[in-house]
Amino acid sequence: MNISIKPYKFLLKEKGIDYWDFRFQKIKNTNILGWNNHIKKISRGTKEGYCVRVLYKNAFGFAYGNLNDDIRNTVKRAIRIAKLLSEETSMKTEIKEHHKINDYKKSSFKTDPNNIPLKEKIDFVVRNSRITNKVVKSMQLQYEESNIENLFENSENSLIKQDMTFTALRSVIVGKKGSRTESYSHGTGMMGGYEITKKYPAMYRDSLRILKDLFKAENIKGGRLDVIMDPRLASVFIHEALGHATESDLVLQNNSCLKNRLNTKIASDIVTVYDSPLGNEWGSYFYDDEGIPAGKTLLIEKGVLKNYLASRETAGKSGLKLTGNGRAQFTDNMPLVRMSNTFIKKGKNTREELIKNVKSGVLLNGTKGGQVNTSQGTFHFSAQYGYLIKNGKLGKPVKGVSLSGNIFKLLKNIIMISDKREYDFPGFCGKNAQQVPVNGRNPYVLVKDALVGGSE
Amino acid sequence: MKKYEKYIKKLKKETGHFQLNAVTNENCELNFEGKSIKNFRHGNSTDFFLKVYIGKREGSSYSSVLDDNLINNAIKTAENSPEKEYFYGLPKPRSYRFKSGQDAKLRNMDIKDMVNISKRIIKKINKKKVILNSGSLILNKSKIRLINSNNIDVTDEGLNFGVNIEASSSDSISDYEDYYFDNKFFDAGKTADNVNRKVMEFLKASGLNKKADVVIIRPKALVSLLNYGFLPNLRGDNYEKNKSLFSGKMNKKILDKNITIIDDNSLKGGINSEKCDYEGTPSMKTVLISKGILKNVIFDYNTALHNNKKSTSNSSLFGIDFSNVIIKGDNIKEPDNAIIIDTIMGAHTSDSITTDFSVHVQKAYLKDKDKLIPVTDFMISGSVTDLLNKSVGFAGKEEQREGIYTKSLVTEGVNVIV
Repeated sequence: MNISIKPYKFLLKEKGIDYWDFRFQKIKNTNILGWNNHIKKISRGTKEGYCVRVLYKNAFGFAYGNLNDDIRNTVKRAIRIAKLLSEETSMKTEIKEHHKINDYKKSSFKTDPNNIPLKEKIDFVVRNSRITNKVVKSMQLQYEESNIENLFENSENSLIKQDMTFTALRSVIVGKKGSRTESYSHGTGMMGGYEITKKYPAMYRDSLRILKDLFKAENIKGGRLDVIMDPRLASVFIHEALGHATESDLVLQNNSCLKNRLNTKIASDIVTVYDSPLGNEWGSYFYDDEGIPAGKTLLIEKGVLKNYLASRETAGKSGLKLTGNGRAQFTDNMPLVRMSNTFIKKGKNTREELIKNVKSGVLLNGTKGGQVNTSQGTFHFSAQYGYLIKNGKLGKPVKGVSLSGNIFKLLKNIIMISDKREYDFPGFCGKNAQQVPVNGRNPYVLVKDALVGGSE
Repeated sequence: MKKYEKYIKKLKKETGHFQLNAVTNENCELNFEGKSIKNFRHGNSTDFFLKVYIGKREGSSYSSVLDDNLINNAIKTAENSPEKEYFYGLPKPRSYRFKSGQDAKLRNMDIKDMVNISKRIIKKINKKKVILNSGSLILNKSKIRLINSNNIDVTDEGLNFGVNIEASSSDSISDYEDYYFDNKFFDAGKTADNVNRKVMEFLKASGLNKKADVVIIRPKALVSLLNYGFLPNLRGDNYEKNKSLFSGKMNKKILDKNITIIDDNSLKGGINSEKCDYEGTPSMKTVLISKGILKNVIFDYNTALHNNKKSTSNSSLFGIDFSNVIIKGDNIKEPDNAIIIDTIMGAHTSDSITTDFSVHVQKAYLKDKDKLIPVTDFMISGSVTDLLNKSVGFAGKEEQREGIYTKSLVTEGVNVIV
C-alpha cells in the first residue's frame, strides 16, 4: 500500500473540522464459475479506491475517488461539501471518539490461495461442475477468492492496516423429472484459504440428497404451525427478525420496533443472542471501517434486550458504547451500522428431542433469504425445503414454505434450542444499496404457533 | 485517447479478439433524516472491464486502472482456461441510430439543487402525525465506452435520478416506503405526497379477515415478483442450459393468451434505453412472449448464435440482462370487489425456476366498490406463471418501476393466507 493521506493532512487542519477519516481499499478477486463441465466465466480483477469523510461543525461531507483522481482534490471536495451542508442542516452530528490505534492485522489460512496455480483452481471447478447423475440437468459451481487490503487513518492519529483473505464455494443443482423442475442452492464461506475446497464433497452429497427429496416434496397450504428452523434458517431468522432492529441508526430514525426497549424482555428466557466479527467467519474482520476494534456484542441475554449495534455517529448521538459495527461495502460508501456474524447461544436439547416435542408442525431447512420491516417488527423468510412432523416423527418432504410474522411474538414463542451449532450461512446483507458479507452458525430452534406460508 | 491507443495496440497484437468497456461514473447522494439534511456523498470512479479471446479460450479481468496488468491478467486467465463450449467471435461495427436522451435539467443538477429538493420533501412529509424516518436523493451520471477487436468504438452516456423515502406515524403504528428512479427529471415531491398519504391511510389499517377470489397486484409489488420469480426464465443462458421453466418450448404456448412481454432498449424515453448493449449490438425491440406464445428469449451475441438466433442487444457487464421490459394484456376496468396488493416483502425468496413464491403483504386494500379499506400483514403465495395464466386483465395507469412498464395485474391465481 503506497497510498497515504499524510501529504494532505495540512488541508484537514482547518478550524471547524472536528473529525476526519481516510480509507483506502484494494480488493483482489478471483471468481470462477463452472456450469455443466464447462467454464462459464472466469473473472479476475482488482478494485482500488479511497475516500475522505470530514465532520465540519455539525455536518459530514464525504468524497471518494479512485487511482485516476488526485487525493488533494478529493480532500478539498469533502471539506467543501461539509461546509456547505453545515449551513443547511439542523442536525447535531457528534462523533464518539476512540483512542489512537496503530496496528497491522493479517488473516490466517491453511493453504495460501496465491500458492495454488490458476489452472488448478479452474480444474477444480470444471471437475466438480460435471453432471454425475441422470436426474441432474444443470450443475453450477462457483469458487470465489478475495484478498482485501484496508488502510485507515483518522484525526485521532490512528493508522490501521488489515490484510484479509476470504474464500467461498456456492453451488446450484437443477434436476428435471418429467415436467417437474427442482433446484437446490448450497454454499460455504470463511475468512481463510484454498482449504475451503475440501468442504466440497460433503456439500455435493448434501445437494444431491436434498434434490432427490425435493422431487418427493409437496407444497403445503400454510397456516399456524409449530416450526423447527434448521441452523441455516435460524441464521437468517436471527439476522432478519432481530439483528436489523438492533442497528442503532434505525433506532434513532424511529425506524426500529426495538426503540426504547433496552433492558426489557423481548424473547423467551432461553434466548441469548450476540453479534461477533471475531474468528474466521465469512462476516469477520479485525477493525470496522471506522477504526474500531471488532468485539462480541451481547444483543439479548436470557430474553432481555441488552445492547444496540453502533457506529461512531450513532454512539456520538445517543451515548451508546462503540461496538465496532460501522461497515461500508467499499470506499464509495459511507459506513452504516451493520451486523457481522450473528449467533444464538446453544440450548440443552438434541435435534431429535426438538422433533419429538412437535405434535403437528414442520421442520424447515435451508433458506432462500429473508426481509424485515424494522419499524413494524414484521419479517418474512423462505425455507428451501422441509419435512412435515406428526406426533414427534418426521414425515413427507415439503417445499415452497416460508415464515412470516411479528418479531416479538416469534422470539417469545421459542421453546427449545438444540445443543449444537451447525453449518455456516455465508451471505450478503443489503442496506441502503450497500452489500456486506454476514454469517451465522446456529443451532436448531423450535418455535410454537408460527405463521407458515405455503404455495399450494 | 493516446492512453487507449497504446493498450489497444498491445491487445491487437497479443489476443485473437478483445472487448474493452470503460465505465465512468459520477455519483451524488444526499441523505436526509427527520427534519434535516444529514450528509452528502460525492465521488468519481472509472473502471475498466476487459475480455480477451485466444482461440476459444476466454479470459476476463477488471481494474480501476488501464495498464499492462489489466491486459496480462486477462491473457493469463485465457491461457489457463479450457476452451469455451462455443465462441463465434464478437459483433462488428453497425450504425447506431438511437440517441440516448440527455435531460438538461439532470445533467446540470448540482448539490444546491439537491438540497432544495430535499428541503421540499422534508417540509411535505413532516406534518400532522407523520415523521420522515430517512430519505435520499441519488444522481448518477455515467459514460460507457466500448472498444472491440472488430473496430467498434462507441460511447454512450447515461443519467439516473432517484428518490427514496421512508416515513412513519409519530406513534409508529403506520409506516410506508416508496422510491422512484428515472433518466429524466421528475417531481420527487410527488413521491413524498404518496408516502405521506399512505402513512395516514394505514393508521386505520386492520388485519385481513376475509379472502377474495380476485386480487389486483399494483406495479410496485408486481415488478418484484416478476424480477425474482419469472423473468430469469426468459434469459437465453438459462434457456439453453435447462435452467428455465420454458427450456425447449420456443413457439409454444406457455402463458395465457392475454399476456405479451417485450424487451426494448430502444424505447423512446425508456429508463434503460441505450445506443447499444455492452457488446455493441444496436438497441432493439424484442417480443419475448406474444399472446402467451414464447417467441424469443434475451441473448447476447454468442449465446444467440449458438441457438441459431440473433443477439437481442441484451449483453450487460456481467452477462445477459433485461433492459426496458413492457408487460401488456387486455385492458379492463378494476373489479368492484378485490384485494389490492400494494407492497410485499420477501419477493427475492421466490424460486426463479419453478416461479413459486410465498410473500408477506405489508400494505393492501380491501376493495368494496368505491370503498378502499387498508389491510396489513398477511401472506400470499402461488406461482408467478399461475398469476399470469389466471389473469383477468390489466387495469389502471401504466407505471415504470425498476425498468418494468406495467399496469396493475388483475388475477385469480393467488392463494391468500389469512
